[in-house]
Amino acid sequence: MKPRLIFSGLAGAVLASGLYLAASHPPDSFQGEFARIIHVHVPAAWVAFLAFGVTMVAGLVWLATKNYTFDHIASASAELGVLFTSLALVTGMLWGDVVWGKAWDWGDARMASTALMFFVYIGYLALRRSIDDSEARAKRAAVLGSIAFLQVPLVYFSVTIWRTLHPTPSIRPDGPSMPTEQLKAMLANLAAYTLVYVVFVVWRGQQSSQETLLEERDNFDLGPAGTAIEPPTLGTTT
Amino acid sequence: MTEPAVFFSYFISYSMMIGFFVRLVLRDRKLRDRIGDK
Repeated sequence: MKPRLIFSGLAGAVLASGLYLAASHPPDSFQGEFARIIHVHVPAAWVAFLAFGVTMVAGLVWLATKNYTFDHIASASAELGVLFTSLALVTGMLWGDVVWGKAWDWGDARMASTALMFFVYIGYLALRRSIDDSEARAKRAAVLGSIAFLQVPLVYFSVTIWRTLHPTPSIRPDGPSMPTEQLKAMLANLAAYTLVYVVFVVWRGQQSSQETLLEERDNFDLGPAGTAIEPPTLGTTT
Repeated sequence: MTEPAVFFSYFISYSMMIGFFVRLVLRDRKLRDRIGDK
């Protein structure tokens, strides 16, 4: 059996156990049933941070080595980062709507900075699509990926720097601020989402490598430039 | 899980992950076809 299928199956199994733990713990004393949303919201946000970190590191390694494997990993990781950021934003809005009474508030530092980060990485993906030359694309993407990552610590610490609506982190150095059952569900989902990310990023990165090889093969088969243009034939003009 | 907000949070999360997985499988199939073209 292919390792890809084994790891996909493993990720699915860990995801299922995370779902079971999230669904089976007693309702929270303050938030009731709505506390269960946190078990998808926090892992999605964590994976988004991880993905953007990998995008930066892979971009920097490409700059140092010019090994295109790292450019493909950076691209795949940014795609997944955008996917998981959108998931964190949507689940956060669903949670905010029922717990705070409002789905969105531009005055909240965490929400506004996360939205900004989301749009910057949409720009990163747009930049990659707009450049045909592989070296120029990898170089510019590596520079943007490194600059864009500066937002990640800003988003993470926004809740402690500016005390607005969003709660502070539940898992802190001085101990978690949630009951043990909820903590188990949270950790299981953090592991599950991380595993899903690893499987997807490796798989997508391998596909990007194959696509590049196929493009090179197709371009090579076209022959020298200009052979597709028919030479003009004298005496046939009307 | 019966609360609509909770249900939709999980529904959207798993739908996105399954959607990305299906996209990867379809892209794999397309790549195999392209490799087999020549």
